[in-house]
Amino acid sequence: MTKIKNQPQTASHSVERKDIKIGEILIEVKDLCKQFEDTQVLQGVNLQIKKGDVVAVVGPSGCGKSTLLRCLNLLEKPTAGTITIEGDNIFNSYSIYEKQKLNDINKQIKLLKKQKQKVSSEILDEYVAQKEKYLSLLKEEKQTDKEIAKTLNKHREKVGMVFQQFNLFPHMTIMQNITFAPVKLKKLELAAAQEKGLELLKKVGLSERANDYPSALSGGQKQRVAIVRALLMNPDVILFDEPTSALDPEMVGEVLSVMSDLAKDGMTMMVVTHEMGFAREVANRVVFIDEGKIVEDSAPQEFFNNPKNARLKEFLSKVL
Amino acid sequence: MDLFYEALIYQNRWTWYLEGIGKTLLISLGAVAIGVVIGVIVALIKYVNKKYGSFKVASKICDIYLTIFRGTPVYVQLLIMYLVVLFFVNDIWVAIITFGINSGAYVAEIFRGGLEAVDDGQLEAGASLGLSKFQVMVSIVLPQGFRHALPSLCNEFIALVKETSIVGAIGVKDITKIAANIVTKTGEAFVPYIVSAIIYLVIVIILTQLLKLIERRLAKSDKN
Repeated sequence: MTKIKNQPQTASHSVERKDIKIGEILIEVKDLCKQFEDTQVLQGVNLQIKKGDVVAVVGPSGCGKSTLLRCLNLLEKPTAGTITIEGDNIFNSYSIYEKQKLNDINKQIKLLKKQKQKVSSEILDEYVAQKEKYLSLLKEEKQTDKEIAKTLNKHREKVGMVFQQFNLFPHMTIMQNITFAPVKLKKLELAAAQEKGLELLKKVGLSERANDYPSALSGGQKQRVAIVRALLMNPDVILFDEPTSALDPEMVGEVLSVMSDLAKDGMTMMVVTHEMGFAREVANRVVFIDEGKIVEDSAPQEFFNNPKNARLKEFLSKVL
Repeated sequence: MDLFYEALIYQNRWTWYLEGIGKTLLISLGAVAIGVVIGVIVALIKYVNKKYGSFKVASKICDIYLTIFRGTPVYVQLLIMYLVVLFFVNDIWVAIITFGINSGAYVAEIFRGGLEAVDDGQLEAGASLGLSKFQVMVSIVLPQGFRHALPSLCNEFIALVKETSIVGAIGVKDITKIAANIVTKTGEAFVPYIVSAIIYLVIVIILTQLLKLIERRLAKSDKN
């Protein structure tokens, strides 16, 4: 699959593909928070993914690992924090904290009023100042949001994604599934896309199925097609969201082997998984998330043989 | 035998039925065409509003339209259109437009149901590939939503053909009105109304068979 990466781009776009070398930072996440109504799913995640990294993300269910992954291409909009891809901000927002401060002052004032105490002018001044601060920051962020929205789709082209439920398009053949986006987005001509598509399908052992519909394929085959679909966009990184969790046990192996081939070819990958074998053997970093925070981030050897975090020790004793 | 003679043969009255069939089919087809256009647009506006939060005002307007046209009898709508709103328009066009707008409201809800049956994962997969919302809508959501909605859409069309039997109220000589006219002339109700009932039945049976054919075709290409 390295072959494809080395070929030049057929079209250039406003978001330029940067020449990032192995070991340089591809994705940077700072203080990322995500709140769903009352539950705080991510509570300040900091993470750097370098080109060539294969990062396995593990953790108990509901710990926020899938949410983190989905935030990286903004399928899920974070509440606060910064996400940078190849040096470009795709998310940058901290206004929620100013809003919280504002609410705190407001609560204080209300409490004073309730207790029939005099509200000092200092606190009122503080309220007005905080409100101004919040609104101006909000306005600023809305402006950057607009700027980011213009180029978001270009960023998403560089970040491939493979889903737990495959999400192939059921009304298209396998070939149409994999070539639709690159052709539509003018990354490849139709003939070239089909040629490359067929080549990749052959690599995952599915070239015979090019003209079938997804409904005729097994789960493992669907997921291999989904990987090819992501690959054909020639992404710089592929995010895998529990790629083998919806598969029958005997099909897990075929998908994992495609993924480890991909890793060997130097593709940058971030994989949310429950497959500890994959994390141990294929990943070069394993990240453990607990209660919305990264509590361990180390090489697999270290991670499995010498875990430091108490929660991780407990987790490993259960899953290994 | 006299009954048949009076109702069908005398003065070539059977040709009147043919004209009636022509009117009924014309109104039905015209209304379907208008209904589908309106329905698809309204359904898309409401769907996009729900998924992405855009088109707020348009969506509210659609809600009002749906409430009014699904909340009042089509007979009353027809009279209002004929006597008040479109008083300057030819009666058959009033019928086509009224049934079109009325049917559009039902088609919209059917079609919206079809769109909402499309898995959210499809939207996410499209977005993750870098496709725009518009591209995802047109190439991924719409074709699948249409498939989900097709059986109900066909049923709506069949219902529409039968509903048009009230257009006699504004003087359009459709199948039912022709039968009624002959009854007035002969003073005998049995044959004319039975004949008109049979005609509707045949039309509906043909449409049902067509629908089954289409569904079988789709089932073949898409086993999901």
